[in-house]
Amino acid sequence: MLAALKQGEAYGYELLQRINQTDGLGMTESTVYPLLARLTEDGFLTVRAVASKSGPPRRYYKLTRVGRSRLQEMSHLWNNFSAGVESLLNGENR
Amino acid sequence: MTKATHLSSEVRIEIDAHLDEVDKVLQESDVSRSERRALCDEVECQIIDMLSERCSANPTVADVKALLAGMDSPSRFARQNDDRQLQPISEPTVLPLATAAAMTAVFGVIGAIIWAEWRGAESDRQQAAIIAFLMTFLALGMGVTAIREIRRNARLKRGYLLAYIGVISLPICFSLWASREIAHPINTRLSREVADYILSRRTTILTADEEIVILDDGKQPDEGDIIISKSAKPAKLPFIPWITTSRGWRLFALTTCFGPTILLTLIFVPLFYRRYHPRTIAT
Repeated sequence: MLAALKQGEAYGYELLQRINQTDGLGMTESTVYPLLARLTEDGFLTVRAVASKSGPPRRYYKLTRVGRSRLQEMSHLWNNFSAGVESLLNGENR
Repeated sequence: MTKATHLSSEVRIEIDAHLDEVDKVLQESDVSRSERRALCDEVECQIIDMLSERCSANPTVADVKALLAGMDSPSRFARQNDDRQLQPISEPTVLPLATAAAMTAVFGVIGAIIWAEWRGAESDRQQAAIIAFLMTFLALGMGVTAIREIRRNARLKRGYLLAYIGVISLPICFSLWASREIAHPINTRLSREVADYILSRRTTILTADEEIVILDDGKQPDEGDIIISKSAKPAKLPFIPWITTSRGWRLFALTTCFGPTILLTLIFVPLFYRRYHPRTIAT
């Protein structure tokens, strides 16, 4: 979710589309929206409400400084994890 | 940008029924009102956007029903909400504010002591005391904030020990100051009593500035012997014989100097621990 927001500010449905357009990823609203709420509560995201003509205000999410830092940490962990799994799959032994 | 969509009252009723179901499920999962509102707004925005993408400007009830059938059922929001119990894949990291609190406390006090020792004058000592108090007060604020932050993000952050160092620095600093201002004069009075005892047994005074006395055996004092200014005028205080021994004197000095520190620490640490430490919930 944080990585999807790295591309820039987005509202909920836009973010959902952004994730689902990525190969190999598929998420639904019941996963994404509670996660957005949780990440906002934890201080990783900020929300900006913009009035809409045809419904409730759109909530635009943006990474905070803490969120960017968390994304960096998670990216590092993911890279290590991915490299480890890849080496196992390739039969490499360190 | 999506095109404007006009919703008939029948369509509106259908959408509202779906949103009410989502809200009900979230309510049953103990989700706060503000969060429920935010989640329902997101779902509503999505429905309207999808209608405008897939249907005409005037969608029918059938369109809405078909669209809702392709979306997550309201009950899935309850299941996803349970994901709050999941642990993060990474280890919690030390909160920088907790580190800053501990460093402010430690370097603030050490800096003040160095300043006082370097300058030496009584006025500089007072300035150093003020600096130490300000720094430890700052450390207290940072420590309390850090503890609250760690408690709020216990899955992601740690650093309670560092934060507590910041919190207890002020009472420790205060008790050290109190030891100097309160216990030291008491020690001084008692040391005069000791001096009286020693001077009554002295045989030789070595130095002109009367800083050192030699004990009865005529040798220079060893490490651990009592060395005291002759200029200190003996006071008529009740005399405690065991204080004349170096071990007894040191023990007494240590107790009077560090007693208040230990006492205040024993009072404050459990107080803050109980106030801010997260409760363990059995699962």
